[in-house]
Amino acid sequence: MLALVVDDSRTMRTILRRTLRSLGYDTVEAQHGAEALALLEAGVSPDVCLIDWNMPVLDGLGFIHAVKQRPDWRHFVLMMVTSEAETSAIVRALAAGAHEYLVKPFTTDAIAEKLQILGLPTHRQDEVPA
Amino acid sequence: MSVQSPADDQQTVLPDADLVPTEADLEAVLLETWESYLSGDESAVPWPSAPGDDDTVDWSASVCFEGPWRGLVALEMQHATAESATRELLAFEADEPVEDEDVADAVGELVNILGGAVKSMVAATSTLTLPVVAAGRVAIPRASTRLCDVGVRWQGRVVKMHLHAMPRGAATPDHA
Repeated sequence: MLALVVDDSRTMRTILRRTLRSLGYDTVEAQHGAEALALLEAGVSPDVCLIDWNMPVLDGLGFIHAVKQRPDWRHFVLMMVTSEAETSAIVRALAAGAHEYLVKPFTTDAIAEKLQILGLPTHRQDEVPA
Repeated sequence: MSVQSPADDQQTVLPDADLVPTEADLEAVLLETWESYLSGDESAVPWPSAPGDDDTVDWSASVCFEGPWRGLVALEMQHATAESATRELLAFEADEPVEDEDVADAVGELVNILGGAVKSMVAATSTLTLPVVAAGRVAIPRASTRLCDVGVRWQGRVVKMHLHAMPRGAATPDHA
């Protein structure tokens, strides 16, 4: 499974990379929406995109709008991961096309729960397969 | 109600009490953030500011929010704390050097998370500035009014968080 992490903070990208890795995901990273779009244009095909809201160049909402305008990208699963916690922000993101919304600070369990809601697998590294 | 600093002619309009997060709210946000990302070998514990605390501030960061009132959230810590947090957040190896830009990114992201959480307690519609990070203390507008201080103790040192009310017309620290 592959996750695209879009965040201008190296710290947050690292946190997400470690968290997702522990859930069985490889990651590719972009520092802003435009860089993420370039990755998609280049053929990267993530199973889920985790997107910050406030970023330079192209913010999270702009990225989601751009993805939704491309019929061949509409299948991408989009999750906002942001410190914008107000209901109005959540409504805006979901209306723009985000499938899920996660507020910082978050735990590994919270991300796992969101991925499961989206129908995506999570394999905790500390779990022993049955 | 408003107060005015004698050193500045900009006025800070103090918010209604029900629009200001309590100390307990802020402490919970600080603890939750540390618990989420920096639990490591030692959890942070509440540590109200007290005389005798080491007030050294080697790294600090702030974000401002604008809603029914204008606020600033500041985070302060010693260098050892900032470096340790950076190592953990950026998953550095034990012998990997930590550069100042690494610390600035980590401390900036921490205050961004804290500011976002505080902002969400203030109003349904408010905006958040990008974080400002400083080696030392970040600039706080003189006419601002400090509303609340909370602290946690982590790895034997205190991390402090402050909430200020800002004058409407004051430049945010990144423009100061």
